[in-house]
Amino acid sequence: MIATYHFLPIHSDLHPGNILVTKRFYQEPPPHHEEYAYLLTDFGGGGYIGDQSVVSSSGRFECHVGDYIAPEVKIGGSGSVEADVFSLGCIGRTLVSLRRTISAKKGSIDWENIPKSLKTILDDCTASNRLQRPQTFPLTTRLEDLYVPDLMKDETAWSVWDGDRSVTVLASDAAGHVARARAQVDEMLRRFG
Amino acid sequence: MAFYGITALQVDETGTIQLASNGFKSSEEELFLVFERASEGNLLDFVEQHFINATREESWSIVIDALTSIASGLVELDRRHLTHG
Repeated sequence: MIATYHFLPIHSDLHPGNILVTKRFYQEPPPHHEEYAYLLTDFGGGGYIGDQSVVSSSGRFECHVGDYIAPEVKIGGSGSVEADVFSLGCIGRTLVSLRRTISAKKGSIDWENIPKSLKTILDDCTASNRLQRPQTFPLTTRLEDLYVPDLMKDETAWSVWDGDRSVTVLASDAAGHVARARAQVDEMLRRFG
Repeated sequence: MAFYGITALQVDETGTIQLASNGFKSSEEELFLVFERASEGNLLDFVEQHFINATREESWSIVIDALTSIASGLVELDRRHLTHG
């Protein structure tokens, strides 16, 4: 990776197209005998922190995948760790969106209803003020701390009848809403039935 | 990402690599950096393929594993005072 940077000083940026995935095998018995490794590639545009100049040695127009570029870079600023964190947040949104599109056919999930713990992290990464974005090491720790069963508990939005209106609630809260709605129906039946 | 070394190969005018055994002589040699093979393609190719048959739990695991792994890569870049772009 580092060798790439030294030998190929051309421009690039962090987006799903230059993150490659490979399967690695180990001697350990299952389930840890294999895993997918995510490889950050195409460091052409990389630079040492503090280097304000970005020069394309290829001579070609520098084409970015705009959706993944930090706002300060879009307006001409140089790359930074914080800009890479912004790109990571955008990649996270893309993955969540793809997951919803492809594998969530059992029930649609709105962006606002994705697990709050994950949404908070992605929102922090994509803060418009780069100084408000998390540093890479604490960010990694926060991601490692995400617990998949908790994500599943929070992901699905349920529509339930709550009194006189339909409301969308998280699955984890749905039982309480249903119980209240049922009590209201029972009360109406008792009074008018 | 494993870096295996540098090699020189002949490339024709269409950009196709020509093996020496083919007797191709009209092109010049170009230098290539050789890295480990990314068997699963890029990130979008990978997740699109795996989301299709993944359970809810598996699909969240894919998302979290990918983000955690990429973030770890950024930690390493940060440690070496490099930025991606």
